[in-house]
Amino acid sequence: MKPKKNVKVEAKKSLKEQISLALELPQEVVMDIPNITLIGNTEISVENFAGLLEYGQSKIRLNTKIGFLSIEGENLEAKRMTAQVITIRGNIKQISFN
Amino acid sequence: MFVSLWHYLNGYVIVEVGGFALERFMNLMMNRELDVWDVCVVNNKIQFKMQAKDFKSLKPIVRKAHCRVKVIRKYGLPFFMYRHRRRKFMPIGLVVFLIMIWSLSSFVWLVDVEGANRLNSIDIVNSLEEQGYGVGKWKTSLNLRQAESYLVKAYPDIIWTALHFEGTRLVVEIAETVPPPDMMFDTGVVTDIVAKRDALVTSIAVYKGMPKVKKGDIVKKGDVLVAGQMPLGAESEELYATDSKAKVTGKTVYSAQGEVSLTQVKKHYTNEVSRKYCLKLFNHSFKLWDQKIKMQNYDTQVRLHQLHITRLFPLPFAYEVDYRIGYNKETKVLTMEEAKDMLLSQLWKEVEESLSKNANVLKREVLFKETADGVTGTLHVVAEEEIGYKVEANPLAQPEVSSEGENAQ
Repeated sequence: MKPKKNVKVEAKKSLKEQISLALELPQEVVMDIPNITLIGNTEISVENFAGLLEYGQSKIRLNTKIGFLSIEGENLEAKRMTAQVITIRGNIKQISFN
Repeated sequence: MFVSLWHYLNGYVIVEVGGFALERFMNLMMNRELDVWDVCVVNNKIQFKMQAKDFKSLKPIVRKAHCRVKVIRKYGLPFFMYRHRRRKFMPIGLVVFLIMIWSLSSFVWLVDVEGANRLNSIDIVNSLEEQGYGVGKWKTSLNLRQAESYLVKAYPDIIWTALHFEGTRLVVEIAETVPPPDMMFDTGVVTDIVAKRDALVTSIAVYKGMPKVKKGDIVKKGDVLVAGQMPLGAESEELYATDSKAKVTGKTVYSAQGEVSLTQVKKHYTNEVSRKYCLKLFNHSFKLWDQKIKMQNYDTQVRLHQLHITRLFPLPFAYEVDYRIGYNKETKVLTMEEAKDMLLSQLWKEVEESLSKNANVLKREVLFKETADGVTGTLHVVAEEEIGYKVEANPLAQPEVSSEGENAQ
């Protein structure tokens, strides 16, 4: 009965998510979740974040709609910082949500 | 790059913020939509760059977050101007510099001709210079359309021309006419075909005109081969003048004499080079540096380099380098065989120059004579080639035709 299980999983998705999937709208716009772009391991830019929680050379934590995003690495430095987007450069080791 | 230029023009400051709630400070800053970049952490303090005009709006944030703010450095044009506000001559110098750049680039510093294949481009440049379109002229004072019509009139071989400026270069684009093919129809000019050398006629094919010689005849230089007259018809003996056309080939003899000495002096170039540098401005040349010449014998090679700012902006200066390359004289004694070879190639070169292009060499004979210190020689070459060339004839010289024709036979 594998197909039935799949149906149940889909039903769990929120209405907004279903709409955005059905209409092929960009999810980050409809659902207000962050759009994260990673260039190699040297640059990460996060759009649509809610605020800074921790800022240091080896760890930066951001608040987003879907949880805390922590970026760990060496010599991290925010190249650009506005209310919409933050671009961090450095030697990125780990990115995690919690 | 443009962003950093924008920041420089507006002026920006490096700010250091110390305190406990640095994250709160940054969040507040972001909420106020302050543009901040290059944020880094140094000794538990954060340093970042921001626009100078935004610095005042940090004040309420500082109070809220209980931080201390310090401006570390100021960058940008506004600060630079403020620092140097007492230097009166700097802006003047800047303006003078700009005016100089602008004025120097409004002269013509080089004339280039493009598209000249048959015509000599130096000749065109010189004739333009005579008309006042040359190096050193103010660009706006030149009427290029007039120069174009002058060129087209002065050179019948130029069918179209366009002059335009590219930086400080005056570019002359020209299109040449296609040379007309040899016309078969009557041009109205009466011509005879005349022998260019003493020859033995081997073939004669006349398209137009009266043949005066036949195969096997011996002709002298300047003899009329084909006269520019034709009988009106089979019945009538009367002649009319015409432009003769014929192909006459004959055997011709060329000879050359020369001698070669057995002892030959050869130049043996050494690596010794002494240079002389000159700066040239129009027709004046200024010596910059001259190395001493240590060699006894040397040849001089001159190289001229035009100075440019990019390809579009040639400057009126050129530097000239004279390379003086030293050589040792070396005398070499040739064997008789080598001397003969050398002589033969010299003589052949001499003959080859006077031979016409599609001459067919039938025979080559060389006579050597050995002398005390060398060899002398004579080269005879028998060639078959076209011997006729056109000469404009007097259309009134008709009565002589019949008698001359008899002589030739």
